[in-house]
Amino acid sequence: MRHSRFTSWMVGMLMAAPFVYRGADWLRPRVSSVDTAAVQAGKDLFLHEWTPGDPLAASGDGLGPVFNAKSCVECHRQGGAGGSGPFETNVNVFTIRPRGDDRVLGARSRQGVVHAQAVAPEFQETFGHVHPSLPAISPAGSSLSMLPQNGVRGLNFPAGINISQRKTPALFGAGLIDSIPDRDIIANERVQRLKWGLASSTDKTAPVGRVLRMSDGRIGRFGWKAQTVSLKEFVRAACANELGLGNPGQAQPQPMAQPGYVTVGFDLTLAQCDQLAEYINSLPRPVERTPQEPVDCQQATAGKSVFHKIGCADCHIPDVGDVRGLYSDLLLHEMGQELEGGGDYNDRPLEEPAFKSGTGPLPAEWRTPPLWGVARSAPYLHDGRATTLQEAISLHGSQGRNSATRYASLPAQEQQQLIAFLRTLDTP
Amino acid sequence: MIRFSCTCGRSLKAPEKLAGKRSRCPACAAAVVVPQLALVFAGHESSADSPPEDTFASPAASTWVPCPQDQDDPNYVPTILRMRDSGKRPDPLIGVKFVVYLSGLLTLLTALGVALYPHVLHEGISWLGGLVLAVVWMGATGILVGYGCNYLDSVLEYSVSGGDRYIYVPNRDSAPAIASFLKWVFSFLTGPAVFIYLALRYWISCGDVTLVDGLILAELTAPAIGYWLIELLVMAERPELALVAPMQVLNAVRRLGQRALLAAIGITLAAFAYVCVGTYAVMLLHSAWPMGFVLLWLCWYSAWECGAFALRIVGFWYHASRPNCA
Repeated sequence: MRHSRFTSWMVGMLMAAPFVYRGADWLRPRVSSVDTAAVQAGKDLFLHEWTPGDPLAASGDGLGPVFNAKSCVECHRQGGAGGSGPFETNVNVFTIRPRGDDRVLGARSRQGVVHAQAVAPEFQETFGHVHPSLPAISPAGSSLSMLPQNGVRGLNFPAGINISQRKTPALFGAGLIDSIPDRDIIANERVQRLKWGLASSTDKTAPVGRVLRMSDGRIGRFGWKAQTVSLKEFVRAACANELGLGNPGQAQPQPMAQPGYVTVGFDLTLAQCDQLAEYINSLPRPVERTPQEPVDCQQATAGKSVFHKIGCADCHIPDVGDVRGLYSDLLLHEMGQELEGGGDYNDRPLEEPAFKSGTGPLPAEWRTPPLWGVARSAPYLHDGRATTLQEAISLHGSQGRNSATRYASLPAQEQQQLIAFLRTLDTP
Repeated sequence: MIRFSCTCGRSLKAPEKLAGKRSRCPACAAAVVVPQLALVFAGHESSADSPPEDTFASPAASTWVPCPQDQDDPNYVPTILRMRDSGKRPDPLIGVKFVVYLSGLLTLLTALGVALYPHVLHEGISWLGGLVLAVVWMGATGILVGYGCNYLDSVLEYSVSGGDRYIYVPNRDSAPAIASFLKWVFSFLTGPAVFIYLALRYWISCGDVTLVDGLILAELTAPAIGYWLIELLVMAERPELALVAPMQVLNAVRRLGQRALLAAIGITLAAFAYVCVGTYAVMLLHSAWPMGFVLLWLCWYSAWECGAFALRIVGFWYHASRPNCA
């Protein structure tokens, strides 16, 4: 009897152990204390205008040799420091997948950024450096030709080459996005799949997204292609790609005009990168600003119902985990051929396995952009091709096509209500 | 053969050697007693114009020995009388044709649901239209699943009675199928539903399934499925029960001993495998529907047959563990 009771207790405890372990893990507080000194140091770095041989880049070459801006705030400025960027700050991204003769000649798949500026004329990159058939013009001042006008691009790309643009994303609330556990993003994927009758993410009609997994199994959540896992990695990649500030997390890009350029040391230390991340982490989250006038308030409230009714909330999920008012599922969705756009922004050969085998983002796949703060983020979509919110909605293709169609068939009053609601999603 | 009628009007027949035995009418589930031959001749014999008859037969009179305890129990009704005589010899394939058709129809309905469901969501159909579609689809699926449940019920009832040669293949009469479906659903809702729901919620929220998550999912699902199985076993032995109390399940678990654990784990693993294959088949329906259709049909077919096989084994274990009759 005694033996039996002991055995029962042991079995009971063993069975309870997984629940206790998982419960303790999930209930563990995730909010870390704010290091005000690091935040201030990060703010200084964020606002700092970098120069070649900058004293803050102690062991490197400072700004460049190629770059897109001289400071973080030069692009992240709409609605205050940390906001999204205007159309002029778009970045040009290229992807080369050799075909036919190119492959025979030994050309390699690669992708990267055609930088808008350089510290010296001999480093200046042009589209001609991507492929000889493209014009030798610098991206600065020619960005309009990269966008399709009525479905036609100003610049024709040779087969296997794609150049597309990326708009500067807002950083407000990025710290909250960083705090969302992976399991909440995976849950979005599972719920969508169950809801749409187990359709896969390749389905062109059902809005079923997918998580993007890195080669080490981690899940991406930052960037237009969800190609970056954490805020710290996002900061390191942005410093290197946009400012030419190499750091231990990511090397600065070699200028395509001078592939032999020798990089000397790192421009930023990991501590400086972490200070920048700490500052971005401290930025306030966007807010849902209720209009003062009762009529406007009523219209925005009705618009929120329309938002759910026509299926926008299938992908632009209001809440993810503990984060309220995000309006994104942080998943990749197939958005149609018209919105196709190059690679994943990583400046590296495509052969390098950054993602789990065969799972890299496809040209037409985009992470659902969070709609918080959308009121002050014009122009819209990944390359800013939509100047109005109405246009942005109508350009949704493939998995977003159904909602766009339903929006188009709404009475004008309901369309206005929806836009009124979106305008309440403001920057802090 | 004795021909007689149930109080519900259904014409029945049974072998003469079962005269005086009690069973249940397959149409209305009421307890019936096979009358003595003299009584039948006295006025209950059916004519050539009578409605279709359900066949009662002794499954294997030589192998079925009523337990003295059963005979003493006023509530005990030997359910093996419901079995259809499969012929002069045991025929393991008697249910194949039925299961093939059943699986095919269920696959068709599943594919139809998969094809229509996204359209219903996309079109933003009115709640009334959605309700009508849901009722029609779920009703049709429920009745079909009910036929399968009825088939498994008969396997279970027969095996817990100790029979080993005959199975009851449901005819076209939908009443027993609906009754079986309701019985299975009711026992599911009163037993494992909450734990299965919790397991599903946990799986959605847990992220990538690690060893710890696997253990938690196993601990939620295995006892739930085991509980459901034991509920069905108890109801198979006592068809008069509309609801199985937890204490009766506990007693049945004690009666089965370690075999209860083995059965719960085995059937949970099988269920997990079928859920995985079935899920994959439904996903294929979206992308490569012919392949998905065939895989889903095989999955349904295999699930019913494996279910029958597993329930028969568990039923025999339960029968063998009867007190005073082991």
